[in-house]
Amino acid sequence: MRRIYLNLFSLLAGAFLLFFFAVEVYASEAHVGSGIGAVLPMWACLPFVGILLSIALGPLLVPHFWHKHYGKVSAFWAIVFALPFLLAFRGEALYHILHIYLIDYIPFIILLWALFTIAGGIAVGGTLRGTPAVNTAMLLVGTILASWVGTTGAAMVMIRPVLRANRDREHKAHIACFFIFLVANIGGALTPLGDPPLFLGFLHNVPFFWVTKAILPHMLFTACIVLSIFFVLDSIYYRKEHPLGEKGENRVSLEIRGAHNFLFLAGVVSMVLMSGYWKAGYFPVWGVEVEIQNFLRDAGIIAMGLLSLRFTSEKLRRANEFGWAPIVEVAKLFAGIFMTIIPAIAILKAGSEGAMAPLLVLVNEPAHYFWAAGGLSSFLDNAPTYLTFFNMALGKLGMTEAMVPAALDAAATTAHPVFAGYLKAISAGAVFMGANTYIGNAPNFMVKSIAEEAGVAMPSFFGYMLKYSIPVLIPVFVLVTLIFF
Amino acid sequence: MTNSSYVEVVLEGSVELIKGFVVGFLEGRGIQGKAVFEEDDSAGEEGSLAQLLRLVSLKEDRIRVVVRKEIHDLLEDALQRRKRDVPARIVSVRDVREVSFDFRYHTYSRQAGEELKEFFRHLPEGLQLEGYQPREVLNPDAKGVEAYAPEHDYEVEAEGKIRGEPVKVVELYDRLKHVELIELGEIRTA
Repeated sequence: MRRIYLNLFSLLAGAFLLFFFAVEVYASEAHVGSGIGAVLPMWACLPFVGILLSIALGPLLVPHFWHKHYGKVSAFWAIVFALPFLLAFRGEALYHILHIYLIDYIPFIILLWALFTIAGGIAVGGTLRGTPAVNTAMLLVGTILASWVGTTGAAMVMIRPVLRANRDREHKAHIACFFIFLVANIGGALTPLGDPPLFLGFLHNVPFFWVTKAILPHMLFTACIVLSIFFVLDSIYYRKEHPLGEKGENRVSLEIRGAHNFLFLAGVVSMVLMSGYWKAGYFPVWGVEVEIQNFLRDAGIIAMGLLSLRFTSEKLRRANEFGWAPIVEVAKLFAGIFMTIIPAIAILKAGSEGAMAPLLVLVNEPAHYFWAAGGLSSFLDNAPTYLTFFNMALGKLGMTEAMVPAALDAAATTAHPVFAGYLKAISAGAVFMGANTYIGNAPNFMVKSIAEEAGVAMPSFFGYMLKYSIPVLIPVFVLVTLIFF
Repeated sequence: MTNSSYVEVVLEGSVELIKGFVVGFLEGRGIQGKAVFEEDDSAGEEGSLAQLLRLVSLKEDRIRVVVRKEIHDLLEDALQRRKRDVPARIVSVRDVREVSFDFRYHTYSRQAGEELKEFFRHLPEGLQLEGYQPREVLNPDAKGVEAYAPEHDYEVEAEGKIRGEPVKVVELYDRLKHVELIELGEIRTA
């Protein structure tokens, strides 16, 4: 094992040196001044590709190594990009790094931490009986909840009650897989709180309720079809398991403990909304303009999380098997993602002047954006994928982030229907298609893991795709494309 | 374990009709014995052309029925008498000395793992367990829920073969069929 680690380390060190010298040579030849997006080469995105592939493949191919060293792998890819970038582009590079951490990463982690903490204080108990109707209702509740506590929070709150209700069922794997479809992914489409990509959109000037109005038809259509398929499938299994005459009464006694956490959740929503509608000016931090309302929002969100910790009993958190591991993972991995995504965003923002200009020509229609953003979100994390395509759309249309609110205001003369069409497709693709594989969205693996530890025979990586996501979701997404894009 | 008081009869015809006829026959005659049905594409070890013909409904389905010898004799007579009403024919008959099946399980649930181990420790009398050696892996570092690095702190897997008296083996097979964590191989007769 030690030899494997040494070989791996040597390989990574070699990659670092290669990248280091390449950037040095490139920077000495490039004409810096018209923005780094226009001069950075395509291969500057290699560390970004590297970290996304590591996240996608590490848990599958080298689970034990990944479990112990994912933080180091993330740091490695970040350093492989950051050091040569800083040496080559100095002050401008430092500005870009500070900008992405202050404007994107820190608020992103603060929100996820708070939603995770608050949701972890809400425990759903009771003696539900896992009939098809009850299961469908629970998935519906989880789907609705996901847009308000985030897909990770909703999955954490709902998965154990769903598994408990179905403890005596013979077939349970399909329930957990549809839970991943609906609660861990599709349900998060309606607000920036629902899924990390949408919050990144909010941080980049997409109005809070734009996504609610814009994606509601797509989300309702998709969720209704998937829920209906679930109900039919679950009913078939249920009938096979319970021959006529053996079914008992459906005894439903739902109990929600820690409901005061909904107040803290409302507090988080208020803070986010406040930052979207109030413009209070900014203060500079090493040259980066930090908006006052965003700073206050983040402070308020932290306060809500701390209040939840203070006023929620440990017993309730233990009922959810609450722990910090998922949020630590997100913090470590996204520290690397946000560092390495800098060149991809800069190049895409440069539009026709950037190294990805030929790619922009290929992606023209909303349907292209839906499938391109969705296809990549199926295998890579959907938050950076969203940000990449968001910037691609801006670059293609020659827009800046400052123009986004006006472009999305359908009633204004500044409305930009083409951009709005692209953004709907990117948002729906990134959120919905995270359900296509176990690695498409963080809560997918979490649900799989919790279900397996509860004795559910979850399908393998490819089994999940072949038995569930491809036959169920892909036809639904084709319909979404035909109807909406 | 050998037992030659059973026979495997391969019948051709409508599967549901044959099942209904056999069960009705046993009930009607007040016979306590049990018939074991197994739908099997390779029933009677037919060739691939014959299987293809069955798939496109040009050939009837086949079903294996394992019954005690004395029941088979009565059944054969009854099928002969009712051949106009019951479009089914006996393709082959052979003595069954032994019935067996392979199984495999794998779980990350400590509770399910304990229950499975306990279950296979106390199999019903007359059944033999072969090649069964559960392997447990404990990894305390992996305790807790994670999203991007999902490892489990407990894992158990095992495989083996169960053989024994036909009816008991098949009764156990029918029970295990309903346990999602256990993968079962086909029932084999010898």
